[in-house]
Amino acid sequence: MATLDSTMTAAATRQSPRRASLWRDMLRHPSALAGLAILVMLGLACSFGPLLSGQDPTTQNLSEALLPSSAKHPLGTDGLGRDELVRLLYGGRYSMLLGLAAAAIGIGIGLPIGAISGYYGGRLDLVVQAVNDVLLSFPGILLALSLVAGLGVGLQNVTIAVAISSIPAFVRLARASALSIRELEYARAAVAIGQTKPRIVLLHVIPNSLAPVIVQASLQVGTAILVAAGLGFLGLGVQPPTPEWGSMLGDSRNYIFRAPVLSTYPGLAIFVVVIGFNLLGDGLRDVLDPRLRR
Amino acid sequence: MQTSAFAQSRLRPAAFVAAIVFSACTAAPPGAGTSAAPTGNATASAAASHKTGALLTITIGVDPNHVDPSLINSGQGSNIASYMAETLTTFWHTGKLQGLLATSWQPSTDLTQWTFTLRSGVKFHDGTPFNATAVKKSIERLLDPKLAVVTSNDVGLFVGGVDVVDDTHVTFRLKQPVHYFPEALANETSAITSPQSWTATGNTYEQAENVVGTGPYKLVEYVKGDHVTVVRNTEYWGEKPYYERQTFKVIPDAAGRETAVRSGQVDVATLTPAPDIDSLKADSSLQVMLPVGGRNVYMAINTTSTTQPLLQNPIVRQALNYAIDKDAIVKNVLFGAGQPVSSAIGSNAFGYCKQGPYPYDPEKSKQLLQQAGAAGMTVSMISPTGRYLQDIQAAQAIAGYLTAVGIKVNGPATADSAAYQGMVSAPPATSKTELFIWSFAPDFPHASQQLGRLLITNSIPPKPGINYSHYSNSTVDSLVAKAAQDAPNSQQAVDDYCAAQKQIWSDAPFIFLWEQALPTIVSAKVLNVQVAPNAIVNAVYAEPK
Amino acid sequence: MARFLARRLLVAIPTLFGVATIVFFIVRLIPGDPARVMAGEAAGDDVVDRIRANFGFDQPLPVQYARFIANLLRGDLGRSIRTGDSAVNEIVQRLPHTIELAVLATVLGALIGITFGIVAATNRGRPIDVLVSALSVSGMSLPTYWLGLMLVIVFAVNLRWLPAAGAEDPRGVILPTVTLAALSTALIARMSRSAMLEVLGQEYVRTARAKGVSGARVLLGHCLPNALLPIVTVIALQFGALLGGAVLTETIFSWPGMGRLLVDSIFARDYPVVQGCVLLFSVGFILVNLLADFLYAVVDPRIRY
Repeated sequence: MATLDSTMTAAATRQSPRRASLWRDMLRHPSALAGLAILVMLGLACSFGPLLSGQDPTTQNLSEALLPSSAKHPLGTDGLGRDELVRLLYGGRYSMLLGLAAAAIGIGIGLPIGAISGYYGGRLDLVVQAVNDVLLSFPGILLALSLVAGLGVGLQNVTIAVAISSIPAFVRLARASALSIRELEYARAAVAIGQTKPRIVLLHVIPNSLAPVIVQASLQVGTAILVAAGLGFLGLGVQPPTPEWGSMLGDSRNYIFRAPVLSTYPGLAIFVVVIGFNLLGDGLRDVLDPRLRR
Repeated sequence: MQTSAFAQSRLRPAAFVAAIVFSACTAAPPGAGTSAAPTGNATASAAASHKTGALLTITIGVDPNHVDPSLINSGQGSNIASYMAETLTTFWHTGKLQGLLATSWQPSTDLTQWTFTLRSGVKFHDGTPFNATAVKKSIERLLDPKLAVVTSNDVGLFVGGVDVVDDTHVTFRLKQPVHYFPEALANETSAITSPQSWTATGNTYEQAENVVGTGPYKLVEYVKGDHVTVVRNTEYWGEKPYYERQTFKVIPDAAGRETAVRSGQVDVATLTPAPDIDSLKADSSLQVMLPVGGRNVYMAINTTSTTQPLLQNPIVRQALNYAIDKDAIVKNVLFGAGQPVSSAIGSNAFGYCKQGPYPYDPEKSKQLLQQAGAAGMTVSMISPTGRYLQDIQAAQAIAGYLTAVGIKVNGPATADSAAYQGMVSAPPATSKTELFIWSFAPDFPHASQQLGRLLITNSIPPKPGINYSHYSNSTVDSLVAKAAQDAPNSQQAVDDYCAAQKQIWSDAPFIFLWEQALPTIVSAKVLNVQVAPNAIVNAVYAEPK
Repeated sequence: MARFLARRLLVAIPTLFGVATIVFFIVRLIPGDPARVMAGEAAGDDVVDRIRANFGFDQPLPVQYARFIANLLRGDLGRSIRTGDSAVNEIVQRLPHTIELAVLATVLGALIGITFGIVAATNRGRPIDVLVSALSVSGMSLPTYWLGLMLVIVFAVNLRWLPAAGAEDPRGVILPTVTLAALSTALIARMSRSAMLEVLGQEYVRTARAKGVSGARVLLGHCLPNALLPIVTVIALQFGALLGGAVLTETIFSWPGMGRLLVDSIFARDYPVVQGCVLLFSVGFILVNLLADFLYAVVDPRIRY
């Protein structure tokens, strides 16, 4: 164990100069920079904005329902008299955390499965591939929809459903890298000097498939947010009174004539945050994985 | 999506529940009376004879699923089928019970045998005659478990057999005395269809969606998920309608229905979003109808709760009633689409007698809670989303009012309609509910069914019924049983039902909330559209302005 | 080629079997009882039990599963609980509406997407290229349900040019098609741009140009055919995604297709129809992938399976 730790630390130290240059590359890349800027601004707004306003996103006041914009309520109020801006900012926390958590779970499960399956090959690989194909043959929203219908609604279950529906993509990516790495010189060399398979997977296969996985992850966060909001829109997502963007958008359809802006804001918010992750993903792709450069 | 499902998909196949039928026409349609034919406006029907090609479009929120009356399991199906297949009795045109295919009826003295005199000279759309044999066969088919869909209706519960007396007389043998049998027969599931049609093209005995009845309209097509179109029956035995065709168009989204009627794409839109009621009222090209009187909505209280035993105490339950400002909820959450509930049954029902509403008195509420040792109690609350008009919004508001009298409320938690029904229908031993939104729209406006299904001991699950409050009171049980033996429509029956309601009101198995009005929007260019409180539309005798 | 297709079809069978199994158990995990939903709010347990028996839901789960698979092998998906009609019939009635939307959206997306891609590639680095890139990232990031709502607000509610809902009016197809096409247009434009760029850099293009072949002919006669392979792939894959996107689009526009049928059936716990819809979506997805592989071979004769 100790050797393993020291090896990893060594690997990390070795990588640090490369990391610095990655940062520089990213900051020079226009779309990565734009995406990062959008996400940082939104992240700051959603983290600190609610604290500044001091208002609660769930406290209702029926006598102040559906008010237009004013100094007290910059974006007006919703059907139960709750401040729309405060709800949007709180909702951003849920959406972004949900997207990040879903992608993290997707990687956490998909990456090892794909790496092991691809590297070990054989029957294990066949089985994993068969199951993965089943899952891939479900369109993402359908898989999430079925899962959330089975698990039940609510923030946790939606996150899990969206995460599970993102696993197959990561399995496929990691497996593809593993297959290619298996045949490379240094992996063979590692086998030759007697490293065990688990060690090789951990030290070589997984780190080397990280680049495409990170790119995919960034895009996946955006997709996860879209899918989760879609579920909320259908009434199968995060439940009221939690201010999730998708369910806010779903609720707003009730007020489409009376207060069309209530439909505009949450959709715009989803749009902007997903653009942020997509731009970042595009940039990361160029920087991390020049082979994929378009 | 949230509000688009509303209550309507879960409505029972109601026979136009409504006694109060709202008419879009300034004058109510004439033709009341026990044996009157459905009567439209005389001038309109005169015009109708030369007018061809006129089309009326009505948008509904839920696919009817069936138009074969014996299979109907939605209010929309009931609504559409009634254009084509008629029942022996009806509330359809005036909101009062009257004959349709029957001209009169007579019970035996013990109320177990009911003989109906049938209208003669009536023909089904396929040309075969309507007679006692068709009635017998239709009712027997309704009771046949072989049908593709099992429905629940009182006729199925009561009828032991049907006997043909002669061509125009038929006798129903009941398993028990029932004084409101003609009311129960008005349910569209008991409509009479041509026995010959059950095996005609496209039909089977188990499922005959190419419905052939005696009604003023005939089926043209039923495109699943999209629309049902009917065409005027030129051979109709009664007043002939004006519009040559009518289309019921399915638009599940409430805002979509409103858009459709505002843009003139349709003439009538049921169940539009409540928040728009005021702006729709201000639009002179539209008429807004808010008929009240079929469906009471409650925050039901589990009176046998083991998770919060304080709810077993009637004083606590009364306190909950005093804590809620029903008027404010109707005004601000329902946007005026309703009125506070004043008894355990709908205000239009036979046997209704006014008890309340409980006034909004938070001080008294706190005092009662104190007295019962329930100050600062914790309760959990659940609500469906979109099953009833503004349900989750109202539940959130109620939670707010309860918090204001010092109660700690967990929730409202939500579930979609199907999951919700599973939660609230658990029998007392396994039930985990405490407070939950619940409601019932009866098939016909009569105290017997509303009390019998909702509030007697024999209707607590797992017994048949929906007494999900688990309310059990021997006085109420015996009064409801006694009233069923009283002479039909007698003062004695009214008194018995009234006494039962009084008991229920003080025992407060519910927080009594509102009588729901479902907004229906009719183009100002169309007259004579009637709407029942459950958004069931009778536009048979609609006519252009 | 034929052997390849046959093998792929054979592999599809266990995949579909897996999908069928998963969906069978998932729908039964959802809390809520279809019999109770159908019985209506006033029905007692007696009616609910009869409905359960009528559809075989009173049997133990393994028995139900065995029956489901046995019937499936005969092409029988069971009866819809809501309508009593066969689930196959329910789906067959809705399918054409979804295919209509998906095909129209694909055609629209391909036309606009390829055009934009070519324009961007031939103007690499110029403002129009940046604009196309920006538009395509936006298109990928748009929540379709929101785009649909906005289109309804603008074109149906405010301008009243187009109907908001339904398939009866022929103009009713416009808004859902545009909504559904947004994502695929963006992806196709992106893919076309990069594929064209790659081809434009190749020897033979430069040779053709040098020989004085006109710009348009080089572009459409030489470059486009060679760039088609990746474009066809993305179009085919998008078609599968469109079937999924139909769920939301059809809900917004009350379009009587498969997507809405699926959502309605989930809410009603209409197990047979949910199973049928999901299976069909998977079959569609598999077939479209197969078609993409097949098209590879047609477009690029070098590919042999």
